[in-house]
Order: sequence, then structure tokens, then C-alpha cells
Amino acid sequence: MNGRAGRAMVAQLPALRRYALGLTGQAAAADDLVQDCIERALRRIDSLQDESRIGAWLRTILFNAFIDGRRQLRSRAESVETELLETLPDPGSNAQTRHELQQVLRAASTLTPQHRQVLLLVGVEGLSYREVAEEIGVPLGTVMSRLARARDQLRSVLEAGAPHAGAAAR
Amino acid sequence: MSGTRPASEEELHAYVDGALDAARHREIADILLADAALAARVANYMSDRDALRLAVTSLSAGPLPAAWAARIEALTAPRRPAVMRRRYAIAASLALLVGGGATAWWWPEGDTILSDALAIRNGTPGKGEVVTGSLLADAGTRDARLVSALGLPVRAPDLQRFGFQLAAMELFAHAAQLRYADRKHRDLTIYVRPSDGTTRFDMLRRGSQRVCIWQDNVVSAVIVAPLSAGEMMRVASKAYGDLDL
Repeated sequence: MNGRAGRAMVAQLPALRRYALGLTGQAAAADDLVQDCIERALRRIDSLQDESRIGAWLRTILFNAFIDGRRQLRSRAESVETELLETLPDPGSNAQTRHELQQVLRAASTLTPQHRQVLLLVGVEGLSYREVAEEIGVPLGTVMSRLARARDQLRSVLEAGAPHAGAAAR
Repeated sequence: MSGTRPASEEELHAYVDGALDAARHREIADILLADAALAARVANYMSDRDALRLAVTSLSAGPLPAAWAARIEALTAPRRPAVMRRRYAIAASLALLVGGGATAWWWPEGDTILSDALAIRNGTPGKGEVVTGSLLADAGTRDARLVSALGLPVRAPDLQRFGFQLAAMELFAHAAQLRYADRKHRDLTIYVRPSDGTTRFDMLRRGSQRVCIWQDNVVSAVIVAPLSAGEMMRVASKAYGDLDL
């Protein structure tokens, strides 16, 4: 292990937490997921070949941890923490906007993990399609078709009205 | 526009993400100008993407648990051989103390924080002033006594979020132990004393007990409780945040 890799890991923590939150839709679950990711990453940090790719490396570990966690908790419904969402920083607007942000997070939590993953990597993390394809190990066309399906499903859920907290995709 | 190839679904999304080459981007823009329904659909995709980005970014914007960085730095910082020897010593000492109250163990000179903390947890010194019951209820008075004993501007951490209630405070000269309990009668102790000026973060485990040693240049703390690593990290972050006024 070395200090430079450690510092690079620390620098990735805010982005990791954001990604975890997008995947789980829950602040507490997101922090647990980041914690799990840190422990897994520290155990295998010697296997990190290219420190410039540490972001992708950590996101992959985090996503795998997320999938493992879902397997263990398959019987529990996922839900967005409505109370916490009430504390969303006001993005310079009003209750209507806050409501819309709640809606979109709830809607995203109904998608499959693979669709959520692509939606977040492209739409939130700003990765190119090629970078996403390399990171998740699928062809470029698969990234594009997953993204199209994910956005269509997200829109359908939003147009159908807010899903209930327990209606998330298992 | 009659010669323009229709936009595929994938191309519409690539348009949303600015991933098309300039020529095809212009062609899709023209297609959208001529098709209001398609343009509305693409606008919705953009709006949903931006809303998701804003929601996730806003909700994750709070302060990160300090234990995350401390954990990473503690395990990735280059260590001197002497430090490694100290880690073995900690593990050996922990095995003896947490495991069953041994009376003798080897310990490097000058590094006593863990042995002192565990000795007090196990009731060895027994010479502290114990504060319990109603005397703990008033936070102002309680924290003033803690400050007086330690000579540091600290306060007793509030761990109720994790189900732990402060049950007793034992005050020594320049040290204190805070004992918490939860409804399952699990004991959590925090040993606090002024730092020797060095920094440190360690997590150790013995059986069901987990120990977190956290020291900055002002305060040293040792937390012992039967918690998972994740629980200990969250508890330690909260405790450290509360102590660090």
C-alpha cells in the first residue's frame, strides 16, 4: 500500500457517496455501501494497477458490493427516505421543485441496478458512453440501449405518478 | 430534410448527452424542430437527467464521516517498522485484556493509551470519581465536569442515534471514561485523555469486541464496544465529532 493511493481514494469519497446514493436512494444505506466499498478496496488496493483509474476501480467495487447487499436483503423493500428528502437543500426554488426531486429519486429506485448504473454514470458522473462500456465491461451498443431503456422507464414511472416507497425494483 | 436518416432511439439519447458528432447532432436538431412530440420527449429526457443529478448531488452534499478518510489514511500511509511492532503489541495486549483480564502483558514504553483504556474498562484502577443518574442529566453540568477533569474543551458524545445512552462517567486526573449502554445491555466505553501530540487511527477486533483508537493533536479516544466495523465507524465518527469542539 502507499500513501498516494490512499490520498487518491480519499479524494474519490464525495463522488463515491453520490454514486452510492443514486444506487440505493437512501442516505444511510449509501453510507453503509461506501463503508463496505472502502473495506473491500483497502483489502485489495495492492491490485490497483493504474492509479489514474482509481475512480472507475472504486465504482466497480461499490457496484459489486451493492449487488451483493441486494442479494442479502432481497426480502426487504427499498425506499427513499422521505424525511431526509425533506431536508434537501433548496435548489433556489420551492416546494414544487423539492417534490420533483423526490419523485425522480423514487422513480430511479424502481429501475434495475444495471439501468440505474448506466443512468448515473452517464447522467450524474458525466462519463462518456465508451468510458461506461469499459468500466462495466459491456459493448458500447449495450450501454446505449440500456440507457435508452432506463430513460424510457424512468419517464414512464414519472408520468404514471410517484411510486410508493416499497415499489422499488428488487 | 427529406434525405435525412430518421433518428434511432440510441441517437436521441446520444443527442441528449452531446455524444453525437457535430454533423449528426445538427441533423437530429433539425428532426426535432420538425417534430414537436419528439422534441418534447427529448426535452423530458434532459429534464429527468438534470433532476436526478440535482437530487443525488444535493442529498450527498453533507459532510463525509471523518472515519472514512481516517481509516484509509491509517491503512495506506507508509509505516515504519516500529509502528508495525506497535500494532502487534496492541493486538497481543488486546487479546489478553479484552479476552480475560490478564494482569501482565508486554507493552512498548510510552504507548499506553489502549492498555490504560482497557484497564479502566475492566475496572482495574477503580479510583475515579463516578458520575451517574441525575448528575448526568444536565448536559451543561456534566460537560463542565468533563472539561474540568480533562483540561480540554470537550463534551460527552451523544450516541442516542445508535441506541446508546450515557449511563456513567468516571473521571480521573486528566482522563475520563464514558460508559454507555443500549437496550440490549451492550456496553460501549469511550476512554478520553489529552493527546501526546501524535496522530493515530486504528481499528482492532477481539471476538465480539471492536476497538477504535482515534487520536489527533488535542485529544485521544479509545472506543470499545461489541459492534460491527461499519457500526464502529459511524459511532466513532459521531463520538469524535462531538468530542472535537
